[in-house]
Amino acid sequence: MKRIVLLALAASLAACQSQSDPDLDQTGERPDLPQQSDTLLPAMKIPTPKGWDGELPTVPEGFTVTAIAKDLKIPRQMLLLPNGDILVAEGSGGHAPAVRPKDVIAGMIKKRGKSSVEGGNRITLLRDSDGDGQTDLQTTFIDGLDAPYGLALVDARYTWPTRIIWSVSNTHKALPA
Amino acid sequence: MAETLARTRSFTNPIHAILLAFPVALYPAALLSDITYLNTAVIQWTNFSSWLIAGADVFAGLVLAWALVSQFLGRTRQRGWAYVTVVALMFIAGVLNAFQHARDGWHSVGTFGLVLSILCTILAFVAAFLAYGQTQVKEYRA
Repeated sequence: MKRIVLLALAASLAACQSQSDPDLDQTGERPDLPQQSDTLLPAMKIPTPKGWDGELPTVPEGFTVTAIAKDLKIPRQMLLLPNGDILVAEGSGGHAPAVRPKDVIAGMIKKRGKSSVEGGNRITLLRDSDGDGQTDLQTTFIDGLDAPYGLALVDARYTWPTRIIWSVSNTHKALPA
Repeated sequence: MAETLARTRSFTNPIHAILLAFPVALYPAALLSDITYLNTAVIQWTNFSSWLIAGADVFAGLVLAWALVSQFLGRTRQRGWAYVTVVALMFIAGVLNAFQHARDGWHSVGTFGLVLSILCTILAFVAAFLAYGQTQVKEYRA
């Protein structure tokens, strides 16, 4: 039986629902683009963050969805390794400087829609030792990173392109036995 | 024998004068920065304007609060409603201008932003003239 892995994301899936008009034809050479909306006070709806309540996506016949990891701290990207292990990059950034006064205020407003979980700033390793689809080992693989994001397997090394590129070369680490 | 003593004095408190100095300096600076942005389209100028206007707005709000309090509670009421009105208009135009400058890119200044910056500059100067100008104070002694 095939299996679709699902990370237990702290972020609410409902927050991702699009508000766009379903009648608009947004494909092809001449898409119906919505009118430009430019107001002095931007119309905003900030979703309230909500934990995952066990809701699962609908999948085709023959598939099942299982949560394979919980208690992650802002998981953002993951990488499936050739041996079946999964690396998860956790972090939430937040170093962007305030270029304008608006950035300060927008930051406070956007924070209301953000999970209260602090970014992990780490890479977590998930291992399914016996192949039953359940995670048997969930451990911190690399700690003390600065908001790791994209992961790539390069030359049998795991790299995380973020602010400090040089850390790639000197903190590569062997998988646990 | 009645004696009339006429002297002139400014009605501002020194701390009030310091607070008013910020809008007087920052609104014209924002206007110059806006003009430079409209001439060069270098985005950093509109960022400068945003900060200048935000700073001016904070102090304009303090000046307005002070003016209102002294209008109702103060001992010297020579300042009058003209000053309160000018400061209030300056503060409202400044806050509107801050929202205008919060728009993105070229829209952040435009005609509306430029007009508001000119208005803020003029009102700040008028407020300064009203505040720092000399007032005739006549004292009557019996």
